[in-house]
Amino acid sequence: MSDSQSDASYFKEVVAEIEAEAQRRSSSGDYPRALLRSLDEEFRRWVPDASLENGVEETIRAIEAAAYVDPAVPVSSRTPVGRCVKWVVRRLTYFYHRHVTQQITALGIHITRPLRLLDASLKSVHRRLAALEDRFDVDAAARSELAAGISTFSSPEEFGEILSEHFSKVSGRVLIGDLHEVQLLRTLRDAGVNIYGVASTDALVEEVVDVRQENLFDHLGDLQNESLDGFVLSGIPDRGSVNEQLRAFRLLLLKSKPGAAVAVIVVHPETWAARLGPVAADLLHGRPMHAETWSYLLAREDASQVTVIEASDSSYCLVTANLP
Amino acid sequence: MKWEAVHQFVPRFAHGDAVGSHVAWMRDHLRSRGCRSEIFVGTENEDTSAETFDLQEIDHHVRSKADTLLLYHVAQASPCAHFLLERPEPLALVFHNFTPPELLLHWDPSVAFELLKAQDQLGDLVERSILAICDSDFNAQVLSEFGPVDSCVIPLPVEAPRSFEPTKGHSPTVLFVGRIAPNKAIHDLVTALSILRLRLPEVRLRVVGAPTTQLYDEAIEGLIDALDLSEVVSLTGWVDEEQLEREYLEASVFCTLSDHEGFGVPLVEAMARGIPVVAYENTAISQTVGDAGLLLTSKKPAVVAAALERALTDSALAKRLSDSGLRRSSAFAPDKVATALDQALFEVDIS
Repeated sequence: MSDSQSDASYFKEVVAEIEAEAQRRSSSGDYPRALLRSLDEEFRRWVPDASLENGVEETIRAIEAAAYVDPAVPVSSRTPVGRCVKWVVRRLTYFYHRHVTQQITALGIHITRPLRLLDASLKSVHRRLAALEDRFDVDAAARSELAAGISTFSSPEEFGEILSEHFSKVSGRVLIGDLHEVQLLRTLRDAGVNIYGVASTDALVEEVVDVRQENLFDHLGDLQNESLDGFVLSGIPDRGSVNEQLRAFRLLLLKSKPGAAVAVIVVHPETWAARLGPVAADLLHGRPMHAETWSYLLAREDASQVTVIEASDSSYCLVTANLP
Repeated sequence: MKWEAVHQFVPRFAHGDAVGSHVAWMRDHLRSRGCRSEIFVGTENEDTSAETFDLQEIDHHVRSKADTLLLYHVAQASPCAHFLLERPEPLALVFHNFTPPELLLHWDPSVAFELLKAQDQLGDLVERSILAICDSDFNAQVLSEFGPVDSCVIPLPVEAPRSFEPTKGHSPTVLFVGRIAPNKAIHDLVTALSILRLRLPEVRLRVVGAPTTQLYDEAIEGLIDALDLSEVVSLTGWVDEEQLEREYLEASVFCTLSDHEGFGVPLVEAMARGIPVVAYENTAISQTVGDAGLLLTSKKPAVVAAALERALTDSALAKRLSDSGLRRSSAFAPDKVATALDQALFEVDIS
């Protein structure tokens, strides 16, 4: 292998490492999320006519592209004579076409300007909302450090047996996420459940093949509605904000087939506070909801056989049910 | 074909920019081969007017129409195009490519219109030309969309410095050399620096090049202020060769996130000085850098910041990038380019 080839493969490896590192830093909060989010916006404030990214922006671009009229008339023809004649006509009339097309293009740009203003106003509302959210958020790096304590929580092994029984009659796909340890997944898979996991970190992906490293919300967003035969919601009830917990729950309901078997594993709020300590418990934006709340939410969806099982050490609760 | 004269035409001739340097180098080389060679301009530049002629003066410099080749450097719209289309002498193009108009539409619509006009002119020029010389494969591919013409790829010549001893003891410095233009994506570099300095607080970015549009210039300055980077990012404006050399001497890493490059002379200049290169891979960038740089497929601030941090802190990687760049830059040595140019110009068959 020549020096150049050897360098090429080495530099490609380095770039892959860099991309993975950038991803890790972004998701861990090493690179503050609020700053990353604000950078594009910050520059776009300066772009003329405030071009911003969303569906409206694409529409405006399409209008602008359509309004951009090319004064050069095509001269292709099936015969050389025809091509020559067209070329001569184009040359003779170019000054006229250019004058007209420039005015049409200018008109197009003026027409799109009000749309861009509307677009900018909408984006401004989004920016303010994001800023408001950030005000309620403690420093991302500090949260990441505090949240590390939560990831060491693991649900009791005794839930494996109960869940194996709960999903024993389910033949289709069952999702478990957000996954933080693989033992439960292994137990359910060994029990014959057609289960796969979604984990936000890649550490688990190396251990078992049926774990996807992906943000749970992103994964659910890509799934077709009514494609799951069951789910186990975990992780997010331990550390997500109330909004995140409810959003995950709603998405899972949407993606589940009628009659799906469902379960929620949730740490007991007192256990959660005791394990984290007062600082983390105060500063983290998420806190687990009581098992009774999950029961209530499932019952409100007309789920049947809603059952709450407390672990023998009272640290965790398992809520199981069947969707209507 | 043994040309008695090869005269060059260029929209505007300026020392220091890529096209101007190429034109001057070609003139000197052609003269060294025994050809008469002068430079004709569409728009006069006061600084170089002693070296150039007005288009209409070409007749005084043509002894034999058949033995004179007119060489037009295509980089923007120019009165040269219409003038050359009417000339009876054989015509060849040197295609440097031009910025896609859509990248400039928001910032400077008049320039975008001029670029559209340049594209229109190019179609006619291609039809009339016996040969086209392109700086890169990418440019050759772009040119082929304007019509069939015999083309060859000859890179721009970049001379390596006789000696280059980087200065030490200063803050880690990221260097960009090029015009301050929207398509050069200086804003992406600035935003990446705002992330990078969280981990390397002493890092500096030097942006060396002349401004082009007032709006973009204001946007970059506004962005630097908004991100509180006025102590971190320096915009030097246009610099002379001596100052440019000093900038290279103090650079730890060269970085470009440009959205469109037909070749990328500063990339080769950096490699020729052993400066590690980090670049966003697109258009002709990978053809210029070859295997000698960190070519990023994303220019998200997090990725660029991580790449720059790695290049600035991993001395083994920096050394390997440096050695690799030095090897790569030899491909653009003027003697090699001259040989390729002679083959293209003097072995062309116009029968």
